[in-house]
Amino acid sequence: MPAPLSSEDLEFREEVRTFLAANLPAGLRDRSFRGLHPRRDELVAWQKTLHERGWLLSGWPVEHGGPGWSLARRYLFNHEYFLSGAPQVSPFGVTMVGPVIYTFGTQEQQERFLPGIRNSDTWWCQGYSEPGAGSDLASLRTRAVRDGDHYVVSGEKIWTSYAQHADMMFALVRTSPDAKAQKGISFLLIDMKAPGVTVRPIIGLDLNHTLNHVFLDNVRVPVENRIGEENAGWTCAKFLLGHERLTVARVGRSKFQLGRLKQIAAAEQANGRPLCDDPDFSHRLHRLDVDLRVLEAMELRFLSAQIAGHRLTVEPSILKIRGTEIGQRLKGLIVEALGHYAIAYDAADEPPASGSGPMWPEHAHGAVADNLYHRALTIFGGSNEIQRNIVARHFLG
Amino acid sequence: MQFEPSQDQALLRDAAERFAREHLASPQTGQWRRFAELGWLALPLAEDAGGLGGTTADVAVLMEALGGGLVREPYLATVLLAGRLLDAAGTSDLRAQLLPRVVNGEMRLGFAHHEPQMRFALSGVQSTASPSDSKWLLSGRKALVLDGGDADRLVVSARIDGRGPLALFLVEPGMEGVKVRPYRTLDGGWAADFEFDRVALDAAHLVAADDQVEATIERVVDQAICAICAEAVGAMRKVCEITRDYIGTRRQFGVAIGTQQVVRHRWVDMHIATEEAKSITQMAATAADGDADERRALASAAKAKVAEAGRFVGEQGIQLHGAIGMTDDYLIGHFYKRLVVIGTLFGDADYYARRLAGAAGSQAWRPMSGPGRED
Repeated sequence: MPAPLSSEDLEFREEVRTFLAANLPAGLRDRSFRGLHPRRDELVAWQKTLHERGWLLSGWPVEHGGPGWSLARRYLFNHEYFLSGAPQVSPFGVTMVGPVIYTFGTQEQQERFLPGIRNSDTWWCQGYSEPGAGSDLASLRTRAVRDGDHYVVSGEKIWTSYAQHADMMFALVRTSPDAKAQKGISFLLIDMKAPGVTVRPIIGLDLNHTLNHVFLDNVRVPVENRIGEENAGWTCAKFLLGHERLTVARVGRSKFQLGRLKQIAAAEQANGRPLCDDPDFSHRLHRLDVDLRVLEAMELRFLSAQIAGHRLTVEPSILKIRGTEIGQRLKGLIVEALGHYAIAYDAADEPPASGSGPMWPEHAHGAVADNLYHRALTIFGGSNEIQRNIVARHFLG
Repeated sequence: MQFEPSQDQALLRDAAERFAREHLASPQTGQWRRFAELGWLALPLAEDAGGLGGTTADVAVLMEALGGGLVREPYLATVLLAGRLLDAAGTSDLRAQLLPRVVNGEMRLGFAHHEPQMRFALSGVQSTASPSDSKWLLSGRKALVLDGGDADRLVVSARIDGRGPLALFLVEPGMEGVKVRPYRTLDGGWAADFEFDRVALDAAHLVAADDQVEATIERVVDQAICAICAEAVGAMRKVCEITRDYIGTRRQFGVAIGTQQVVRHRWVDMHIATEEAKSITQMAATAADGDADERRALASAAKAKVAEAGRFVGEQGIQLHGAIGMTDDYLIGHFYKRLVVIGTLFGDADYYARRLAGAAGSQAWRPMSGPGRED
């Protein structure tokens, strides 16, 4: 933190550390350590534990159930949270559609949808991208035609994470084909169990099923599920994009994994000594360490500006660019540390039964899958090319 | 030094590219018979063993073509490693017994040399063959034996009595005391780890046990490295080609993304990396059958370059494809995974950059043979 921490802040940080140490299940921490996704049931249980403590809705205003933390406190919490190896909570409810609903939704909509987000009983997914609309999201074509008190929705959404588990999807749909791009888009909440919704798995490079292709075939969606005015959905989308970017640089997660890398490098052997003593490897490890500290400093500096009341513009883009590049380098270095065993691949969630699979060190499981999956870091969330365009436009016109 | 293919090499290249195109369009396993029919199993083996006496440069032509097709047959393990080791170091009995069966496609081999504590070095074998009566008892561990689970025979390195010269033995995976653990590799292939617990071997199992074994292993591995570098070059060229097509057709914001300067320059960087990799690989392949110092230096430079360039081209191929590049369905990710595997096999860029420094010693580069000279 830039200024010395107040004694209240220090106490708070201690409180967070104590809680996490006492309550974070070892299995979840291990999965974070290895870069494996948390299992759905375990994640839901963990989210409920956090919520019971009042810490799940860390960015929400008090009147909607948030703890009412200052920006500085939220930063502290996130930092300790990820440094402990706690998994990212499912973002679609808590950090995405939840804030949209309490910002743009009616009282009735808030009462209907927010409880399920608070208690993690509703699993959400995000229906944004389409096969023809990736970076150019505003060109989306999923059509919603008004029919009495329903919209009839037809189209396709793609790259929908965990749609196979989802109860609800928040989607951007075109309600006015004549209007220009952004001006004809509405924000709809779609029941994934409604007739006409088909979810088709997309297997990733890591051979796991995270992403999906969602087909919407004349799905009837009640008008009461539209958030905000018709054709004003892009406002919700822009709000969402600009909201909750506090952890976009992944500093806590990368610091946690850097700790893992150092452990692995101490355990692996090269030329009769630990890999961390190999000059080539340690050089790259140290340069990465520098870059991560720089990233942390930059994040803190931008946070200070925000706390002082300055409005952030391109800073989240800069943090996203550097955070993802550093994250990828880190995961790549973990794989490199494995030597020849970087070639072995275990797509399974669990390490293989004892006596089968590669005779590799225990720390190897998960590393290659983690590295593979996170090639997407520079693509999803607004590709790094788009992020650079955002920064360029701001300064260079 | 010749960079242009000879007539024979051009014919080989054309046949292999045809094969690769068909394979990419409709991938099949079980093409080993066709490899035998096309003479590819015989290519680098000595004529007196039923081979064609081809050079490393010939093999590189074949491998570059196959690399563009993601062809997954155990050519590296059976022919380029174990086969060539038997050819170079084996007793005449073993050569006569086994190599014709390799050439006709009947026999699959594996080369079990690396152990985890060695990391990428070729030295440091701890597996031991302890003399016992007129036998040896083999004990030790081998890691990442490519296609080891399918091998009919393994060529296994071990130290005689734990401290003597390095020896090579022929082991049948079904022998008592052999434990095999097969697993998949990142690129969809197979490898296996082995544990040997006092496996009883007699004279018929001895391939070689003299002070030449280590040098022979080093040479055969350097030559195999040139071959997989060539395979990587073929994969990189294909990635550039697929990506070029994609960015020309994928439209966002009303234009093909290939009209955007950032995208264009990124593709150019991919192309340049491929040209560099091809150049050093070809030079290394040509030098690989000659002077040992030059072979070592160039194979090291090629592997270091290919490890780095292959990763870059694969990663950027995915990045320029966007989300679709992250799916198992789409080709580009498969090329990326194969490039990453080749980049790691036998050692990464750091390892080979260091080896190059060791190979050149404190001297400057030796002057290379100029183009057009007959060497």
